[in-house]
Amino acid sequence: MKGYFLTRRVVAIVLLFAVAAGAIATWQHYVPLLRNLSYLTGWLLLAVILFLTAYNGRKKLPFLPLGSSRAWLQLHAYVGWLSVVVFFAHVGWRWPDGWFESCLTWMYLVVIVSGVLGLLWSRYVPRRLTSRGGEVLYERIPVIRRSLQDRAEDLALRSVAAARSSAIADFYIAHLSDFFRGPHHYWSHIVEVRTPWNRLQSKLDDLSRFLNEEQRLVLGQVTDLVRQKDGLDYQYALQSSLKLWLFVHVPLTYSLLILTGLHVVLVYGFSLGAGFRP
Amino acid sequence: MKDQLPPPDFDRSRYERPNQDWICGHTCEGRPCRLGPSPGGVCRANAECTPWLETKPGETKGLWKCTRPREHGGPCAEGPGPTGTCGCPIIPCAPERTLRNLRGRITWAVIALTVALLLLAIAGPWKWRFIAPARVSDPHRNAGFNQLAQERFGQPGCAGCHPAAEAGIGQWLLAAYHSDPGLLQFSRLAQATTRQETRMDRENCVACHRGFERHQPDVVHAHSCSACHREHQGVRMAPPSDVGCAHCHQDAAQLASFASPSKSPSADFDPPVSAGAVVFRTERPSQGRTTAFRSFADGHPEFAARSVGRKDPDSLRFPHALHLGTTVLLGGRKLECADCHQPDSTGSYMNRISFAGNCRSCHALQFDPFNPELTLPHGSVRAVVGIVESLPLQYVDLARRKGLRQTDEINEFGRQNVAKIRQTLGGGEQLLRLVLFTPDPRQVDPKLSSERRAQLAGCAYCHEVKADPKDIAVVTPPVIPDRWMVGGRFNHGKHVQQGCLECHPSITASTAASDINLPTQASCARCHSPQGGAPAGCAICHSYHLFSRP
Repeated sequence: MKGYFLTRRVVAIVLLFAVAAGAIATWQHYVPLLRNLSYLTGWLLLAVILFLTAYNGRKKLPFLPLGSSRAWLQLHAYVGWLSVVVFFAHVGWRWPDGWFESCLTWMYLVVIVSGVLGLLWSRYVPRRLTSRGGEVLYERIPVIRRSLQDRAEDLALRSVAAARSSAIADFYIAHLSDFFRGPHHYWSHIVEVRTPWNRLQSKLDDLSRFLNEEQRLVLGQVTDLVRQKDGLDYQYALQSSLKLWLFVHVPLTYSLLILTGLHVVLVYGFSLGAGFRP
Repeated sequence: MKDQLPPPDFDRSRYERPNQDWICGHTCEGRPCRLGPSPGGVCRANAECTPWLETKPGETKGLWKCTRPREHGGPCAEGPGPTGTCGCPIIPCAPERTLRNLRGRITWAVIALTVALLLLAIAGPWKWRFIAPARVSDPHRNAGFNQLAQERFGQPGCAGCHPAAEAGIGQWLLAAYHSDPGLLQFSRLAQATTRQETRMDRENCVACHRGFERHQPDVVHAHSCSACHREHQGVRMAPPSDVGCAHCHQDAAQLASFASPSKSPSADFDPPVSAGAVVFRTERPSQGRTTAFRSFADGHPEFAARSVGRKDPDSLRFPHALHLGTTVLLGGRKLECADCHQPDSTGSYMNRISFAGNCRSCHALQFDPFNPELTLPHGSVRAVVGIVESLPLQYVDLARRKGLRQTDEINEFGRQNVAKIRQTLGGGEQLLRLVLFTPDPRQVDPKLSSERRAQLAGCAYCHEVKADPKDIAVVTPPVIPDRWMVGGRFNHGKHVQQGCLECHPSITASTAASDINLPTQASCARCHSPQGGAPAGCAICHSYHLFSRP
């Protein structure tokens, strides 16, 4: 199965490069021949952007027989790459000078770069999540966190009665209650830094030295819950990052479409329609 | 080494709906209520269940039973109250938006912000700078242009060229709607190989840029000014690219359509030249210049002046080869090109060759071998005749110039020299014929050195001299062109690194003034080609426009 996906990706990439090279060659061929080539590449680019935007609409209309979301995502990625070629052919492989056209270019680049980074991130993060384990539905994370919190609190309280010592309960209040209350160490998990976890583990180890056998058993159970909570935070951090990059990519896509609309009006109104007398 | 965590234990039978807009406000505490908020985001929770009244046979009151589902803990320990109220009331929450809903709202906010910023940008005083695709060239943005636009079009600034500009976005939309080709006329866009002349060209560009004729007289005025002159490219308008030229000159079929004999007189095709300039004219081919070619280095026709068999019709006798050889020396050294050919004040072309400036130093027009101070005047046969016929007076004048003061001495000097020249060269008419018609002084004295031969040369040495019954002789005036190739520009100043012979190699073998020693197209293309590295664009040499003739 892995071989199939690898082959498919290689074929798609080769195809993408072939199409891009063909597009560049076609553009170069027609540059000296067609005076309005930039208009044609502009319309092509707009069509490509609309197709890319349609993926968002496709997700909102799951009941329509428009193909699988997976197929759309594949097309979205490859056509997105192709749009880069069309874009630079449209602008003539130069950086625009005007304010508005610079805005348009920047907007396109932010959208395309956010898309590329999102694509790479969405290829990279699932592997990390799988290798770490503890996979969970993102929407379920608060409930599971609460469950872990309740179980840890219960263990801490029961340890007081069982061992006639408040050491574990005190430790829980001092170091773990806040940890279980909500997500922690977001950026550490994103960049895969284990320092906060090691620090907490060290504190648990320190406490363990002063406990008797029965208390150590309880602390072991608490430690297990702490590890699960840390895994849950890891899942939360990475899964939320998979959703949050769309907060840049999607809204700016619509901004790009608005700017493109004005660009069309300006280009036609001030160039091909320049002779119009109000 | 990281340890692999097992999946957390949770109820997999519960179904999450991440596409909903709202979630229970208790979710972040990990205790969302069973009902969840309404689609409008209103908390609907009041109790964990709706108790059910179980009435057994024979009972009248019945017993309220908790109906909390098993996945939410099952029936509660407290049970419903005696009036059927749930024993586990839920604290109302403030429902929260899901990420999906939040993203939608942010999207709308960004859209609104974008529209607002755009409106602000195109409504503010900086709107022209904002929408301009790039800076307008200096000539189209200075105060002079604005004043002209105000006078001619009633509006300064952008409206000088774009009439719809000042009227606002509504008119921009109308202008876009009325564009030609229209907004969705893709086939016309694809078929247009050049930008057609627009109303803006006719009413705006040409209104100021008067006097520009558009290329050849037979070519219809079909091209837009902007087809070649791309505005909004920076401080200076970029020079026209070769694309516009190639549009016609690469297209053999299109050129063939122009090849029919012109309706315009041939003179109309002659490039205009500055007043007084002498130019080397070549006749226009009957089919016009309709050879298709791709670039200067690839197929450009040979220069008309260098076409096969063409000769300079000038009657002057001037062998370049002789002057550049070892026979002719100036101050003991060989002549160089620069001894005669000096650039003009612009450095582009060479100054006109003149007898006084270039020839006299060697060709002094002496006629008396014993008195080299006596020379003939240049430029007038009558003056020459006058000198020869007044020889005694000329010797008297020469005697005075030599410092003789006594009349006897002066008269004696005159008599002796007149006698001497009559004895040597003959007197009167014979001397005059010698001076006017003898092409080579060695015919008179074969022992003359080359230097003396040049100094003692008469009119016919360099000029075509014909006998004339009225004026004795008529000298055909030489015609030395100031410009040889008027269809193109050339700047000698930019080619000083090349030696003269690199471009004019045939000059050292040229034995007649009728030889045309201009560079060939191929010799220019050696450098002006992609291989040569020098610019090879059409506009380097040619101008598209023919300026109005007076």
